[in-house]
Amino acid sequence: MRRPGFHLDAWRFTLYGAALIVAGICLFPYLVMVSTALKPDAELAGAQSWLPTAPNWSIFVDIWTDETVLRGLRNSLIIAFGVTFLTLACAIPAAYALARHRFPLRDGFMTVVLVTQMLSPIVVIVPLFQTATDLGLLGGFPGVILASSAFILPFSIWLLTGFFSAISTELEEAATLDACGRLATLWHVILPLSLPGLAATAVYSFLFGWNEFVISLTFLSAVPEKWPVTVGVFSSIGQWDIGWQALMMTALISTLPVLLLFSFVQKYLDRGFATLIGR
Amino acid sequence: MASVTLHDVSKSYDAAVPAVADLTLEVVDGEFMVLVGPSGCGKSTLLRMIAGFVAPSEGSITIGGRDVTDVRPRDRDVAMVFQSYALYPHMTVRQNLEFGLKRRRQPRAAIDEQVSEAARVLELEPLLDRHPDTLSGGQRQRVAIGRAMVREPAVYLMDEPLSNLDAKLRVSMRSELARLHATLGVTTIYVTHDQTEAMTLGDRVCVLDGGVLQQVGEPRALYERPVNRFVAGFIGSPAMNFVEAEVIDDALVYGALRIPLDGRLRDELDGRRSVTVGIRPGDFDLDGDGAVRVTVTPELLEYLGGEQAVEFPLAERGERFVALVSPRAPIGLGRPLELCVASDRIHLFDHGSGLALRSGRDAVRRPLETR
Repeated sequence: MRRPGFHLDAWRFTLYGAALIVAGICLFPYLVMVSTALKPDAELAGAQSWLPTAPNWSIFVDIWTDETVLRGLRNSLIIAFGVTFLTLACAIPAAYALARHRFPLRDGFMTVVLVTQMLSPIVVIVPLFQTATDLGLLGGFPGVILASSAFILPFSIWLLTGFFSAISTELEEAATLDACGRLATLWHVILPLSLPGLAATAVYSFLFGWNEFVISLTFLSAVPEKWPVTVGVFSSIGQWDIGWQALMMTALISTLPVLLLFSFVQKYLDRGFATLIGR
Repeated sequence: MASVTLHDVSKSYDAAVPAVADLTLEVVDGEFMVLVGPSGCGKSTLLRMIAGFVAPSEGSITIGGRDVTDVRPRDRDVAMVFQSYALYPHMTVRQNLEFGLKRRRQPRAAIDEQVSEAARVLELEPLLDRHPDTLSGGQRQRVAIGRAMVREPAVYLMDEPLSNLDAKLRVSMRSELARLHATLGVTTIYVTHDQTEAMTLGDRVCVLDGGVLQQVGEPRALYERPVNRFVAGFIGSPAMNFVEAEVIDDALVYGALRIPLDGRLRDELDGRRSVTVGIRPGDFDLDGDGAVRVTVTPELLEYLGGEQAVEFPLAERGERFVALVSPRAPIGLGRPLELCVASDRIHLFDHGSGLALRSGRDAVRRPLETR
């Protein structure tokens, strides 16, 4: 007779082992970033080593006094929050309409929305640039936010439509009898019950806005004071000289908001994706 | 409180099959009206039209004398108990009860009073701060009723509210509903597919089939005097037995069954040579002086506790009949058994139309209204 406890332990051992390996793969770039940032120039140019022999700890302080880095972070936040807000503001009503109303060409619309998801920003960057120029949206945050939102809207609409459709129509009818109009029903019943979906959409759009590079690089090239971190890091790679330490440090800092965000909304995200997979 | 009137109401989602066809029904003030029928008979559509979720294709609906056909659901002064209860999962029981009142901008004091009154009547006080997903089915059901109660509506609409409960709870909630209605006296329209629920709860019962109103009446009237074969078969459990019998030598005959024609039966037959005969399982007797006697051979016995069901064929390869008899009766499978039925318990239906045959005196009654 085999003891059931043994299976459990072996299973856990395997599980934790696998988790450790995945964690190691995820954390490895961080190790490289920190280690590189701490190395003096001489050590960077010389033979490869995993850890700096004479770590230059001042980089941790110096980076926060670097105007361009701080400005880049601020710009990235503005773009990321703008994209999140605009995406939710457009996706929620669109998804609600698609989930609850049967109108002509509804299915066709859903398909078109899905098809637009297949385009990468880089493919349409030239016509986008042209459009932004025509609309006078070049060189400012609104243009970048608008264009970025357009790329995540399809996914967001599909995601939220799924969430809204899963809510019982009887709940909405109950709300109707409780003197709720369309908007009040959306606000008091639909949205609170879709928090996992909203969190997933918000995180996804925030990340897209935070990581966005091509559109900012194109739309904001003439105004360095509006560059987000991504463009800033890219521009710090000079023709002759690469400031590796500052580059790595900036890259490290730029991942922090993402980590923070995930730790806050992880609970909702888990439920969000679980719901999606369960469908 | 209010009466509810449906006048020539029709609803069709697609042109070929109407969900509700040309239906007229009056629910009296304070009445408990049950809409019953098999699934797809239009009873839910009817209820949703009264609530205002579905607009009738034709006809009009009045509540308390006011034409509400084009009035928004929230302004119809109705409250609904849904099949799924439809409690707001993200709100506590108290918030669920309050929500409608808050939305209607009632003063705080009035809301508190209403909620505590409903909580007292429905014994919800210990649950007020819990969320619906921590409640049992019966508790959720009571919250759903409470949410309707606090609104003090003119009419309660209930859409199969007991169908998600287990059998035992259903019976106790059923009597609780009856008690509530007796106390509150508010007009209630209740949808169910369960004829037992319909019979026990309804002041009157409205039987629907295929979107068409079959019969409205008190439970006893539906049981005793069904207007057609559908109602006769739908109301009562086990269902009424039917056979196609022919008139031979002054009697209706089918296999071993021979029903001597008396004055009433002859009146109802009105010259027909063949007719559908209906006999309720409970109308068979083991030792009575019923005029109709038949010797049968039981093929299946079902012991039900308070009674036993005997199944037997009346003719070779004919359908089985069911009779309910005393559980103590000495009956054996395959052992011939004499059953009798009182002549006045025989129902006759027209062969083609399925309409119940009535003798001349009864025929003057309106066919659909048997109160």
